[in-house]
Amino acid sequence: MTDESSLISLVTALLASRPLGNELEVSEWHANVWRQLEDTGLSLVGVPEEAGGQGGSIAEITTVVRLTGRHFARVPVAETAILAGWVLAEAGLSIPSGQLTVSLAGDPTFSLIGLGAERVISGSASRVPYATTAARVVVSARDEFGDLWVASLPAADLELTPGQNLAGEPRDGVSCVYLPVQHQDLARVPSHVLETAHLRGALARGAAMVGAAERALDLTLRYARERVQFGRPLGKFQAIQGLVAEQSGEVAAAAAALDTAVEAMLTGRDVEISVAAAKTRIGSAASRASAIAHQVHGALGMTDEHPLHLATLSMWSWRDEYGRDSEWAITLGRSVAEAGGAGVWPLLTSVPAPPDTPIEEIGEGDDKQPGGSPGSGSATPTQLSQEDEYQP
Amino acid sequence: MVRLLNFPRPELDERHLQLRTAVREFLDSELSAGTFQPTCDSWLSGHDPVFSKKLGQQGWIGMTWPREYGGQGASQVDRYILTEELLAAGAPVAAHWVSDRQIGPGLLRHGSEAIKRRFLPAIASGECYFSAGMSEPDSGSDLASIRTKAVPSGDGWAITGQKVWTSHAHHNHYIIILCRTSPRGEDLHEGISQIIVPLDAPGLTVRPIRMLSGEHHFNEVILDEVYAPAEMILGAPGSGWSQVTGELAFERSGPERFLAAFPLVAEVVRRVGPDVDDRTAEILGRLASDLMALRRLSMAVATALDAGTAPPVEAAMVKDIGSRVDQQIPELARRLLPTAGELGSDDTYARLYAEALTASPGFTLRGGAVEILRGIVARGMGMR
Ligand SMILES: Cc1cc2nc3c(=O)[nH]c(=O)nc-3n(C[C@H](O)[C@H](O)[C@H](O)COP(=O)(O)OP(=O)(O)OC[C@H]3O[C@@H](n4cnc5c(N)ncnc54)[C@H](O)[C@@H]3O)c2cc1C
Repeated sequence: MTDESSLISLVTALLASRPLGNELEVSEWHANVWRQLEDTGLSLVGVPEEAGGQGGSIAEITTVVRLTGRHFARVPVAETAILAGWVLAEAGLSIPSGQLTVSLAGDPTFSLIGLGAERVISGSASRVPYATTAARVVVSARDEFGDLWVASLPAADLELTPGQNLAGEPRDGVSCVYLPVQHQDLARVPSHVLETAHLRGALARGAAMVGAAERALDLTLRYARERVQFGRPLGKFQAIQGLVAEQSGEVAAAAAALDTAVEAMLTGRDVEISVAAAKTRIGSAASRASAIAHQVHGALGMTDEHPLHLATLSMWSWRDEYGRDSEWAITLGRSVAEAGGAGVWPLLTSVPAPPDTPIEEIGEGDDKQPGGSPGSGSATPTQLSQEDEYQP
Repeated sequence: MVRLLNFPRPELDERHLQLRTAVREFLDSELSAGTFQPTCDSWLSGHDPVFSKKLGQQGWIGMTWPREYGGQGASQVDRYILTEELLAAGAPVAAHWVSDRQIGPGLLRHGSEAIKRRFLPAIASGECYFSAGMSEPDSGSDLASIRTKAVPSGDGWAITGQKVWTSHAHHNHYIIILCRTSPRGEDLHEGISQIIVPLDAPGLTVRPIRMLSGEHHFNEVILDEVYAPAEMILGAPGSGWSQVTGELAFERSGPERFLAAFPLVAEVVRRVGPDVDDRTAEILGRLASDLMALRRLSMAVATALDAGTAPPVEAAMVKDIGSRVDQQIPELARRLLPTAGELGSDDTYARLYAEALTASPGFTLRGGAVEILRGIVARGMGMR
């Protein structure tokens, strides 16, 4: 893949100028965005080339997902690349073209039964992202011996019940009864693959939330500069300054947690605690940042004419998908408790960036700024008027 | 789009791991030798010259300074690792902390060759401790309003005024007095200077101020025509304000802004044991996720400093978030365990809880009150 900053400019250009309001225009824009993601190969970044993907790393695809979150693109790029593409590659199955999605419960809701030479699958899953627009749904299943499988099922063969999350993304019911499965669409997988899929899903939602939180912050800063009350822009009021400072801090902390989790994924070390920490921290940032963004925007932020709702509805949806922050906090907290009084500090300091594993994928001379909005200028520190502000 | 925040990716390698291991081994052996007992807020409360000298012998004070001034030429990321290990262990590092963190770097940057040679090696060896003399009775957040003044006298200065909240002035050797060397003009930041004064100088009186815990950490320092030779002024007369504000990124972004209560965290984890219910796990997990993000942000500022940038907005952000998380730690402890805090108790939990709680109001004040920091962050984000 290209380096980080050209990836960012490429995706940003592709996602710029989402229309607001007019439903037809919006859905055309989305269809067009998806086409371009496919044409440029971006929809399968992070999936090995040998398996039919585009190559590149999880770092690059999470960057793409973060940007789709930032630009309110409702496209299943996380489902296609981070989840379906990845799991099909892991299972050695072919990667079909088109939108892909998954239902990869660790405790499968589908069962696989041998029927003579044939195998058939039955089961159902709820709230499957983009099942109604996907070409295929990759599901986890258990056979009569208790073994775990993944099956790549044509969406056309499934019974679909359309649904949506708060952000308006498809979250559909999926079911089938005795659906025959071709053997080339079926592979046995070890259970850790399904566990990893859950972690990847959480990482993907985390990345998208960071993007949405960055956008909400951008909108808030802009609004605070432009909206005038009592003869002054809102941003002149100290109470508002306190809020936007807090919101900025939440975004910075969320981005830091995301970067740590991405690095852990790249090196394969401390993956669970890093992802758990990321989904926890990003989830709590999403809650606080949404509340502040709305407070600063006043009533206007509650309308569907103003873009803020696209960011906050997204965050409110994604913080609950692939594990709520409270659930991941419990996972992380159990690791902390197991580490014990003497072990908690070593646990916390095991991340980020394990020293002995070079992070090859990120490449040299890469000056990505983890806490910031890549591609928006240089890293020169802002000039501050240094007033009222020195304390030892 | 959002202003680009300068939080570069920390690049850790094998050497950092070795440093961390070396610091841990040192702390383990000191702990088992019983030379210190872990305490909360040890960077302010644990004034222990013997321990500071040991750290000096290890090369762990002023480690980022050039070798010719007693340093190790180490990076800010190295110093980050060293300091977070010391804090997490609750080691008594207060004697040299401020000298290592901000006084030394200030001398290095603005001091004459004579000042650097005289003080830096002594600080680095863990034998010379400075206090920071900035706050005054009528000047806290509004520091530029200070009234302590220095007037020319012989071939030096005569300083008169009053400082407050001066940590460890009763133990330390020197104080850097922030004072007016010329009257307040159009620009209220002009005419402010930093002058080095020995704490036993004639005309200088140190009076204890007891804290709510009954402890004695900070003081009033009264200066009555205290003479300082001309060469004891730091940098050019009148340039003190920019000197002092220039060190903000060092001062505000460090791990002491979120690890002051960490010894209590470790004790709580020990007490709750390995098998915890969901509620306990969630509380611990949320705290861990906060601390992990803060460590990365703080390390990122150290990385930016190593790259030659001094990101004051990011530093203020780390301190704002960090000090609020740290301040919540005694409250989290109360949610998990019965509390009957007692300073000096033999019961480790009761003692650490009391230490953290009684110190915690200061977390969001010292080094820039949260309200002031948020103003800095907001202005940095374009609010004017
Ligand atoms: C433990 C500890 C150790 C210290 N050690 C030292 C030391 O060694 N040397 C030294 O010089 N000083 C030291 N200080 C002093 C410290 O720097 C001051 O406490 C700090 O500068 C705040 O000043 P203040 O306490 O006078 O509070 P004030 O400035 O009076 O502030 C009181 C409250 O009002 C708020 N406030 C003030 N101005 C504004 C504004 N413009 N807008 C909104 N809110 C505002 C503040 O945020 C705060 O909440 C220490 C303090 C503590 C707690």
